[in-house]
Amino acid sequence: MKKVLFIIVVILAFFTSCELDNYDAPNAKIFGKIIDSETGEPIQQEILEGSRIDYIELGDFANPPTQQMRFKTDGSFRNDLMFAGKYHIQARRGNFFILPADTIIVKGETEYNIVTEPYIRIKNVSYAIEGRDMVASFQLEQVADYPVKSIAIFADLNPNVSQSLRKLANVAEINKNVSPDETFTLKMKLDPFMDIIPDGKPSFYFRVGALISGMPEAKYNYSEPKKIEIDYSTLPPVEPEIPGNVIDDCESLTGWGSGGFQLSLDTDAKQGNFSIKAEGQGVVIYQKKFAPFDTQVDKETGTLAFSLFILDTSPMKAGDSSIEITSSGGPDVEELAWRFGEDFEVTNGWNKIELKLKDGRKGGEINLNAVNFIRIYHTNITAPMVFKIDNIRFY
Amino acid sequence: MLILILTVGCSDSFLDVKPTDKITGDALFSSQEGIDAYLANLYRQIPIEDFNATPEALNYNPGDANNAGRYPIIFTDNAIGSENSSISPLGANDYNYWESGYRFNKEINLLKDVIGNLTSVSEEVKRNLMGQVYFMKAYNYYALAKRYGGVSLITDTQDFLNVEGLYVPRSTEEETWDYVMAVCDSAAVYLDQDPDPKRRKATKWVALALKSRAALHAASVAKFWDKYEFTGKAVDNGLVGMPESAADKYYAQCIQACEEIIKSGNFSLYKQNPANPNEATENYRLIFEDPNNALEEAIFIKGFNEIGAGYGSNQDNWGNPNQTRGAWPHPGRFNPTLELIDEYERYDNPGKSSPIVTTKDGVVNDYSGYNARKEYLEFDDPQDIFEGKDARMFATVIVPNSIWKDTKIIIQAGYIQPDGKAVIMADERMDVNGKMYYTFGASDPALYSGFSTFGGNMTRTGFGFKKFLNSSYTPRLGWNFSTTDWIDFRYPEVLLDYAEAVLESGQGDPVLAAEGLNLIRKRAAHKTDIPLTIENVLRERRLELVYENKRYWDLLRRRNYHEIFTQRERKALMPVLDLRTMKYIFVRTNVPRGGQVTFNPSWYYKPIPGVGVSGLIQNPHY
Repeated sequence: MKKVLFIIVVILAFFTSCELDNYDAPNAKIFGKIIDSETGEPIQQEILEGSRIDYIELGDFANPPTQQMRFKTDGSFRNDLMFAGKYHIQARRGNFFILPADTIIVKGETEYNIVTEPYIRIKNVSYAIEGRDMVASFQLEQVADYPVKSIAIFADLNPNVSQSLRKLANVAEINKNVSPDETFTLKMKLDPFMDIIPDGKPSFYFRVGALISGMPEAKYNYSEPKKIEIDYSTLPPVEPEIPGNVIDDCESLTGWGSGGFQLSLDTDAKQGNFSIKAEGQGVVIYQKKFAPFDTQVDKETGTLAFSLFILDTSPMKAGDSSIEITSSGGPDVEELAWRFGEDFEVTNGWNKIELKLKDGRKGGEINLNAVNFIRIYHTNITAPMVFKIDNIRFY
Repeated sequence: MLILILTVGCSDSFLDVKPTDKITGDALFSSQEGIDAYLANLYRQIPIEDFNATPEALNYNPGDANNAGRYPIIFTDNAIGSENSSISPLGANDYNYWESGYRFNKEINLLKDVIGNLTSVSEEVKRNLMGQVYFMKAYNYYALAKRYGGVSLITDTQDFLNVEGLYVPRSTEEETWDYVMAVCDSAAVYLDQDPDPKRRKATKWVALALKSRAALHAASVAKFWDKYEFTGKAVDNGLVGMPESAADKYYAQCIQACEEIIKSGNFSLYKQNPANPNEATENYRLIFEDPNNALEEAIFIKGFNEIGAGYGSNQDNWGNPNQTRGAWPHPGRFNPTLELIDEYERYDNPGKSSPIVTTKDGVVNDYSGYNARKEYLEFDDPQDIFEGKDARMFATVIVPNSIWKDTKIIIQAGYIQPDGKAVIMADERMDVNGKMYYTFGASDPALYSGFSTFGGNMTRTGFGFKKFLNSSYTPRLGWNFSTTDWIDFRYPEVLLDYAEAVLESGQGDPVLAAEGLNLIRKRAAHKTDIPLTIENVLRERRLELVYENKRYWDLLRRRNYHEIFTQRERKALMPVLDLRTMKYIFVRTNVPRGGQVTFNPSWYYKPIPGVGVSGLIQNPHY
């Protein structure tokens, strides 16, 4: 009998130990938004590897762990499985100025908003399909005291498109302080979208981003995701482009100089992300010395081509002017040159310049296997002007 | 009777009886065999990243060593897995070493305790054993520091009755690296001053090579730390991160250690002067097929003498191309990327990486796949496109149509039909003028090695893996049959450490550094010396040491992993047979079924397990 009793006791013990743990279930909720103190709008976020909210429960624990929450794309957050109590809370690793850790009481359903400022505000975003490109235009308000590192456009089928969640992107490193008036444009070729969805009228989500430099663990600031339908049937046919041998793609200022004009990279580009902009007044507009470049063309059939933007041609009066290439490392020796207005015409806006080598004015014999100098000048510019140059090549 | 027992029981001599199931330190260490046996057990635990280093664990060669071929080489830009596109199988927990590291440290401390009490061995033997202790400590703390930053320095056996004393807080990252430097120095003083003829035992020279590797890591972290700046409590306490000023200190330590090795004349490159590139290819291959061929170059070798669980490795199993898999069902897991192939120079363009040009316009950055409008270069034999590339490439990878183990390795992604239609990455066949042609180059999966999805056995980059494979061993059905030895420290690494440290710090001798860089190139049949620039040194390092499990740590310590891997797709080269001309064309493309991968900067430091109990300050982001 004793034995049977013992067995029963043991079995009962098993039953009691089968109970679930004896902790209470989570009994509180927290929700809120991260809000731009100036505009009152939520600060746009990313869900994958995005900004995060660290919180530590202040209870009777020896080494309380740091727990974390993430924001949704629209800057809101919510956690329905919290324990009522006192917490340290701090939003970090983000695209906003970090506030000191806050102490809060979470009880029932608690609303908690984080009011701060983003590192960069992205404003006046517009999208347009131009040719076979998606073109985003936008302005930036730089809030942090550091240059903007890069600007970007991201695209994906997912409405939560971001730098970590995107099929396609175009990222341009600008590394400069920006003024709120400057308009940036970034392009995305639409052809790669057909690799994702081959035909029809698919919709993709687009988002513009800008990343600050100098702030540790900074994330991109974003515009709101925008859903845009791309009707492939309305796109113009692929233009047969003449790529040529590019002597300078104008994606960097390295080696470029000017006499009187201020040079900078500009996102209004004919190729790649940038053109080189010259602003001001003077004689030498652009000048660059290259490592010897083999044009792979001959004097009879070859062409020098590039894109040249002139905001307003009217200050260009009659005078000595030239576009020159040489193989002597400097001007006027082993040279080919063409004169504004006489050998080619320019109009306001972007000009597609195509100069036949056989029509060039000769100053000695140029070695087309080792072109190493280019200069564009005009001796009679009567007022400040704006030029942009891009995609200098031979074919 | 009872009284009698009590009396006996109280006798002191009864308690002094030596236990029969244990052997005393003196007995064990009184013979060289005993010392060797004890050290062998400890050496096995040194965190050497050899053929059995996996993201899950070091020494991963258990009875069922199936981790699906996930080895470090496929998680960088040098290769991709045939079935594994990730660069991080376990995320933050890749290469976690915390628990193994402290277990090993405890064992080293136990040896240290014993040495002092030994009476039966000479002072010389004791000195050497102390040297071994310092060496293993240096290696172990190097392995911990490069993963976790500053860690708890437990220098002596802990007293488990003193519970409070068990909780050793983390030292700063700088203190931890200083400790690694100091124990390397102690090891170099205490260990044998002559190189071990077989290169299997730690000597002064191994300690110096370790110091060079560790110092370069520490210096790089100090110099490049702000490429991804962390914040948080661990940073505020100096547990991760170092002031940039610390970089010069560690570069100087690296330079000093390298100079001592270089100027000793103890080491040289195996077959320094090959007659031609073909000879250079074979010379380079032989170093890895059997390191004992190249003892002048090897500084420290880990031997794999026996097959079986806990002894052998699975390198030949996972590495061989499908056609030479023998009885093993899962070959071809390591696929070298096109980026790596591009990086190798051509002999006619020294000092520059030389991307594979596949089209007449010479464009090499278009990965959008086959395009009928493009003019492709045509080749009679797929091998021709690689002509003139660095000799080491052909010892490192298998290019399409080349011979490996007397077998022509067929790697083909598709064909262009006589009507101009391209059939790529599909299993099809076609009769042209009475002869049958196959998209993958042969009629049956057993007869080719590329691009089909069959069994995950086929390369999807267009290249097979060769370095380290044993040309005379045919894989058997089973685990841990490979016994190729592993060179842990090789003289070229020292030369390259030196060159990098000289360039990054402006200290040391640039002439000696340039000489070392060019010695390595000459051994690869290059005739032209190239200048000492950081681009040249880093390219040479990537190529010479490729697949020696260095790349991960190089990207990590120089803090450019996240820059290189932001939504990145690795690249492949597809050989395609044009049935109109019966010539081969090549398509540069993203790796099929690859996808974009990103290195999360959080992974620059690993999470410390168990902080809830230990109370240690956790690394950032965890």
